Amino acid sequence: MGITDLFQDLKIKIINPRYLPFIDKLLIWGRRNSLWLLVLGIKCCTIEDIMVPGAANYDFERFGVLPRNSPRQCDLMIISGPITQKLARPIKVLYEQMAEPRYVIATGECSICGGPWKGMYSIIDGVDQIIPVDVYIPGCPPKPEALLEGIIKLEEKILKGEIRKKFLPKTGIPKIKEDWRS
Amino acid sequence: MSQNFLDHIKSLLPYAEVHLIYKNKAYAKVPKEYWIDSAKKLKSAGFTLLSFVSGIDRLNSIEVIYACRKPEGNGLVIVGTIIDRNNPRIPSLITVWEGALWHERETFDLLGIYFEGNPDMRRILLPDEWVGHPLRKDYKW
Amino acid sequence: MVNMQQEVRTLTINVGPQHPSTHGPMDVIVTIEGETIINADIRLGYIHRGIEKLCETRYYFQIPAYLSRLCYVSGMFWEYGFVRAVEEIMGVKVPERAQWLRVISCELTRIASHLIWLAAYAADLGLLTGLSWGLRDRDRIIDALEMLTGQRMMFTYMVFGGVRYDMPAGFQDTVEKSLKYVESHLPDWEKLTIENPIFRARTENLVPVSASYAIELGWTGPMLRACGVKRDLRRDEPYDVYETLDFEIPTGKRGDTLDRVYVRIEEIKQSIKIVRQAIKRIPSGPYQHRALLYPPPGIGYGYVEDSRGECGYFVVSDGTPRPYRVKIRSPAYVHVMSLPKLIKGIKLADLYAVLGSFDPCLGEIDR
Ligand code: SF4
Repeated sequence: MGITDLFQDLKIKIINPRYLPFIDKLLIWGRRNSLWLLVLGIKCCTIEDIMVPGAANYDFERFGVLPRNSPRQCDLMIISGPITQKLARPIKVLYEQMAEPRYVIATGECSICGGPWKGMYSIIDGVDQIIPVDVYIPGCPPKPEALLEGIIKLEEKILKGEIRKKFLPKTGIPKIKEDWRS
Repeated sequence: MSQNFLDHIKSLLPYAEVHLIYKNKAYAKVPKEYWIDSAKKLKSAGFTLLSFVSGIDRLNSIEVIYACRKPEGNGLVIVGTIIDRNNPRIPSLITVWEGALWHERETFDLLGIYFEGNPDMRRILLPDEWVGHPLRKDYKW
Repeated sequence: MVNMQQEVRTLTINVGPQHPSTHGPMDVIVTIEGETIINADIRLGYIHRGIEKLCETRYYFQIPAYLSRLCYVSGMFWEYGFVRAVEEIMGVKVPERAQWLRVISCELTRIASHLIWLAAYAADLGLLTGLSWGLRDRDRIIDALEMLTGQRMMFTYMVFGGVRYDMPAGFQDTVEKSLKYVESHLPDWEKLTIENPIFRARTENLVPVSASYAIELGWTGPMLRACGVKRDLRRDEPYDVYETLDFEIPTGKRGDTLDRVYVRIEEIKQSIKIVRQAIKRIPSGPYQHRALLYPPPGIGYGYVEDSRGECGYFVVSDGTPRPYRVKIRSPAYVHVMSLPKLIKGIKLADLYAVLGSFDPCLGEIDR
């Protein structure tokens, strides 16, 4: 549904509660098509899943994904590498800085479960122990096409309204001190 | 060619046990007292490029190593010395090579070898509050 | 009344861990006075995975797969260095065809690595054209590598005593096409970077380093060559068939940031030349030699000229199927070490131009 159709449907006068479902639809539609991405490169998957799709050959701007540098402007975070205990706190801080609604895609084995480094002394096995994840894309690294597929999946999910306001998991971050800057 | 190289290193470091690893790569084991002296000698003999400083946990002792090479032409020397495992201390190479700074920090972080004279002995790769040195053989996590 | 000029003198800011110019999670803590940097420190280790310890717990033949994930833009070199170290202890003679295949795959990786560096560096300086150009060109090289190895980035192509796969049919044509494509864009790259007055204004005479100081710090690779030292492991301590190949070693004059860009663009040209020669001269024969599963006791040091400098592996074997100790010598670690010394006195806005020119690859720095 295009935006002109929606506005025709609405005929303005938004205050009328009868139109609220439409406004909701409009909002969801808008959210789906403007997923702004936080530029957060962690490791190898960054190249395959942030830089390459961002450039000319794959171009995820077709799906409304626009890379931005400040977490305050972003809705989407792509975790592209292993989460160490040192990195856990900055990732969580970045996630909390993003505006609601916010979505997280975990690309690659590292961010899903620890991947090749699983069980090493400095690694947290999977980013979902720290922040909630919406879409997992397996692979080491996933191809850029896989990332595009993941973004389409996320958009479907948003459109169906499956994503509600999320809460941080209760477990918190394992094994690290509160003040990561100490 | 490689025999010449071996003789050259032997004449430079008369107190060391030297053997070839491969063509133009020598390994020299020096006593602890000659650690800095060997570095100075090698540097003045043209081995001016420090490759790395590291260590090996030998279970009942710790071996500290550094490798240096010639910036032009061929040749690499790895120098090692054995130190006490419970109180691993060794003079820092920072007086000889400025580039030793972070190599020593890393060795301190992962193996717990304390380099005396290095101005910056903090952990570098692991968080500051970390307990233990992961590259030791008896490290459990 | 508060005298603002006296109160607010210095300010400490964190550039990182999430910062588009740090090429990965790294923290540059700078103290500035006005706009001038007066002190700097670096915090590393955000992606320290303990790979040296991991190597001690794995069988030899498993390890190259982990090592190509060390540095994600030039994974081929990193497997290669380890394989060379272990082959040295084993005393394996590598078949000639395998040596040529190694040269081809490594030089293709070098082109891809430099292109991705150019892309990222251009983006650091605000040249977003460069970002999409670099990745566009790199994709062609990656297509050729994918044809050879079956993967886009994590090749796991080197095995002890050879390479994993032979050249597929039609590989020569694909490589030639990719090289032509990249080559045809190099003049554009030069116009965009080293001949561009705006680019020059931002990089020329920025942090010049003298040759002797660079050696003192332990620099290698393009960074050292930009300072005017003709040092290349491919030429000085030749391995494989590099002795028989004809190529030049580009060097800079002043050792400043612009020279580093210049040297890398020239290196792309030289690598193209090498691949062309190798593709023509590759002999037929076996591409793999049956090697032992694990080496006898001994020590070995394997080095290769990575796209950043000397990539070295110090391997200690005690005769068991697992290595006793693997020490990874990372060139970018050494370069980043000298950053706090060099950036004192420059402006904050120039920090990104300097840091980017070092080609920091955090995967390899943190290990
Ligand atoms: S999943 Fe594989 S490619 Fe991706 S960051 Fe982890 S190791 Fe690298």
